[in-house]
Formats: sequence, C-alpha cells, structure tokens
Amino acid sequence: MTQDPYEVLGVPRGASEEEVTKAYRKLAKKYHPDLNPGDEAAAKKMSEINAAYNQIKNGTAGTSSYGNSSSYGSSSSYGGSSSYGGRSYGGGSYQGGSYGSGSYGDDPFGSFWEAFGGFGDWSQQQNSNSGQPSPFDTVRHYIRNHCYDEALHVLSTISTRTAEWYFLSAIANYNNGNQVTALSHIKTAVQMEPNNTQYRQLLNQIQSGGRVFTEQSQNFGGTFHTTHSCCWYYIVINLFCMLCGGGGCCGFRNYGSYYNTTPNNSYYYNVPNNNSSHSSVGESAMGNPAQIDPEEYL
Amino acid sequence: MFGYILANMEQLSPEDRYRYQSYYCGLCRALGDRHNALCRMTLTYDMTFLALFLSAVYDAPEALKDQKCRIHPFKKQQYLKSEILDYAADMNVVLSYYNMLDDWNDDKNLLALGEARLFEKECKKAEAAYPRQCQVIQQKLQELSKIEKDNILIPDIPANCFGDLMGELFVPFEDSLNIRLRTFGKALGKYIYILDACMDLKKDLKKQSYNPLVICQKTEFDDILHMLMSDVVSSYQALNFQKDRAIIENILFSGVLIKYELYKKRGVKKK
Repeated sequence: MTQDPYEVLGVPRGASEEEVTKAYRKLAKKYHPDLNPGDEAAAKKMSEINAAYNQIKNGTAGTSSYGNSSSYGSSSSYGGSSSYGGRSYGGGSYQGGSYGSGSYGDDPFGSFWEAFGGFGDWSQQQNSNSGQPSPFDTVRHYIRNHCYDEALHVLSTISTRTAEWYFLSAIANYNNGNQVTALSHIKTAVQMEPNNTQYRQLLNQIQSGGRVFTEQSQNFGGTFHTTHSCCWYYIVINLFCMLCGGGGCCGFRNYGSYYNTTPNNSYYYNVPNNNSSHSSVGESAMGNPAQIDPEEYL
Repeated sequence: MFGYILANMEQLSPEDRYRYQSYYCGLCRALGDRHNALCRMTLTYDMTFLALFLSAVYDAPEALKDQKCRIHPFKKQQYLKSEILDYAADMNVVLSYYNMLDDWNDDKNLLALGEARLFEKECKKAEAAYPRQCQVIQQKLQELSKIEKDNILIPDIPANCFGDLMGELFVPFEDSLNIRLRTFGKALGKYIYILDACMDLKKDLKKQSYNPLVICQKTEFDDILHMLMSDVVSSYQALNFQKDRAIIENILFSGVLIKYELYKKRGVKKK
C-alpha cells in the first residue's frame, strides 16, 4: 500500500508547512480515537494520518518508504503505535536544531553523514551490502557508548520501523530524557513482537517506577474531592479595596523598598549538607531519573 | 498550566491542614505586601508548593503571624512569613505576567494584554532581583511557543522545555543543592506540562490547536503520568530532608492527581 502522504492529508504536493499542519489538525479532529471511542476504522485512519504527517515533516516524503512502515498498517490498536520516531528528538533536527543539542540540519544525509563517509546510504534499508555493518549495529554501538543523540539520529534515517527499531529507540530515548516517547516505543515493540522476552523486560523496567508510584498513591487512599474553595471572593474584596483609594482606609502600604531585602544567598539558611553521604554514589543519588543500562540489553 | 500541585486536604491531619493553609495565606500576604492587592489575584497552589517545599529543604526561619486581613475580616488567620515565601511570591508574579503576555501573543486576547500591563511594573522589579530565573523563564517560553508553532508532536520536547523552566524556579540560590533541586523541579515541570496536555487534549482536538499528545490517546495517560511522577518522587527522595514531609508527600502522592482524577470522573459522567 504505497500511499502518497500528501494524498492522505489531502493537500497538494509542495504545500507549505502551515497548510500541512492545518490539514493534519482538521483530520485529527475528525478521526482521533478519543473523539471516536470504539471506532476501529477511525483509529486506523488516524494512524495513517500520523504516519503521513510524520513523513512530510521529516522530509522523507519523497522517498518510497511509506509502504514499508509496517507499524501503522498492521497494528489495529492506535494506542501503541504513536510513532513519531522521526529524526527529531534529542538529535536536534527540528529546523535548525534549536530544540536539541545537536545540529545535524535538515538533510538526513547532511554533514553528519559525510563524516561517516561509507555508511551514507542506510537511509533506505538494511544492509544489502554484507561488507558493512547493519544500521542497527551502529545504533547499538552508539547506545553502548552512551551517544544517544547519535543513536537517535541513525534511527531516524531508517525508514522501516521494525520491533527492533522501536526497542532501540526506546532505550536511546529513555536515556536521553525522553521518557514519554520511550514508553510509547517500547509498548509498540512489545505489541509487534509479544513473545520477545527482552522487549518485555525493558517495558517492565520502564514501567516499574510508575507501578510503584501507583501503589504508593493508592496507599494514600481517599477519594478525590475538590475541597479547595477557590478564593474568588478574595479577588472581589481586593478590587473593592483598590477602588476605595489605595493608601487610605484599607491601610495600603508601600513596600517598594522590600527588594533590598531580597535573599541573594543561602548564607543564613541551614543548607543540609548531605553531600558527603552521597559523594560516592552515582547520578541517581542526585535524583536524576534512572538510566537503562545498555549492557543489560545489547 | 497552573493549579495542579495542590494538597489532598481530606488526607491531611488537622495540624498539617492548618500549616498548609498558613503557607497559602502567607504567600497571599507576601503578594499583597511586596507587590499590590491586585497581584493577590495571581496566587497559585503551585507557588504555595514551591514555598512549602523550599522552606522545608532549607529549613528556613519563618515567623508565624496571626492577623485579620481584608479577605478574612472576621476571623484571625494564621500565616507564615519568610524569605522563601517572598521569593515564591515574586516568582508567582513573574510567571503570571509572562503567562498573560503569552496568552496575548498566542490568541491576541485583549483581556490578557490588559492584565499583563497591570503587572508589568511589578514584574520588572522582580526581573531586576532575579535575573537568572527570569532569563530562563523568558527563553523557555519563547522556545515553547516556537515548538507549538512548528507543531512538534514529540511530547518530551516541549515537556522537557517546560521542565527546564520549573527547574530554574526551584533553585533560589546557587548553592550545593542546586543540582538536586533543579532535577526535582524539572521532573515536576515535565509532569505538569504533560498533565496539562492530557487534560486539554479533547478541547485542543476540537479547537484544532496545538497539543503534543495528539498522537496518543487517553488510555495511555495513566501510565505516562505515573511514570513521570515516579521520577519526581525519586528526585524528592534524593533531597533527603525531614521537615513537612507529611504535607509534601500528601501533595506528591495524592494531591498532584486530584485535578486529573476529577477530570476523568467528569469525562465518565458526561457519557
């Protein structure tokens, strides 16, 4: 099913980015599963729309790869396959690279690839050339060396999204601080290959924190009522007070000079110095989200 | 994007409820005293949490006062006064100001512009006092509006951006705690951003406006939110302090879910 992504979105080829986005949002309003509960056909349509939009945005629309993206076609449930895997996250490829750290520019075959000379054409598919490592090998290599931006970039140039693609993307994204994407991608991987124990293990690990939180939160019990009465009447009273003339009857005070007492350092405070107890512990002691140890999986 | 970080009052002991209330009143007072009565309008639970949390981390000296105020004219109200509360009040004003300015830029909402003008002077004062925080806030809000404009549909990108903004607010001083506090604030900010997106998804779809979670659906939200909160909790535990733990844990394990659970209930009722 080779479909033209422009056709899917119903915009002419060469439409501006704004037009494409507008068309996408219009279709999302029509087909999004949350607005069409239980409608499988709408969910499937939405997957196609997502894929098409992703493809146009990533600038890979010209290539003939759409038909290969099995993840959208085959999975009937919309949920797992929210696969904006594009050459995007972390790798800083959003038009000028202002969101991430890297600056690979817009062209997936750009300067980054020149540096790697011979590997230039993984973009299309797996290695047809047995002399070269497969792109997944390179992704694994980058992940093992904690070069997640690079790993994500290579992933973004692979247009066939297999379960392995989603699995590797999940690791690289998670360790790059993109937990939401990681969760979504590992779910997709498991959905595509339910019997792969490694994928399930990773899903389990990524979800373990959330599960603990769910339990702790349930232990707090209690139904959620809104016991907070919003202080609307505060506002009304305040307005009245303002109207009745600032400094006068309500004892308005001018605290303009308060800023001189702005606390600029913590000199007066008792800074708990528990550095010593943490000094020998790794990052997680600093409260950073746990990282996935690549060695465990690759 | 505000008002998600509140306490589950029913589960607080009477003393803790009182204490939480006195922080809330303290922040309101600080807003009135340091800025003006109008600024009290911008009072948020999120900044109450900021004050409560930082006061606990630093074990900051505070004074418990007891006074009638215009808002509660007949009953004496206990409130706290501390430098941290003053800091939170200033941040409250700055955030509200930029938020209103943002509304103006996004929707050309005249009311928002009018409100923003009212707070401009107060905000400029705070900008002079906290250049680091204000610079980060401005920069991150700019990035966020570019992300929205480009319709970036990878939820982590805007969420991390908003996380950076919150992370900066949680660092009142550059001291040995700054890394851990920033990590905590960032994780919490990320949660807030995604929670807001979850709750706005339906509305945004209908209005055809930006929502980073458009590629997800609501059945996935619980998993995502709980995962993000587990990061918040682990960075909280790394800070390792004792003061006001009961209130803080009430907020982190229960309060932060209140609005979302209510939203889910409402959604079910509507059907």
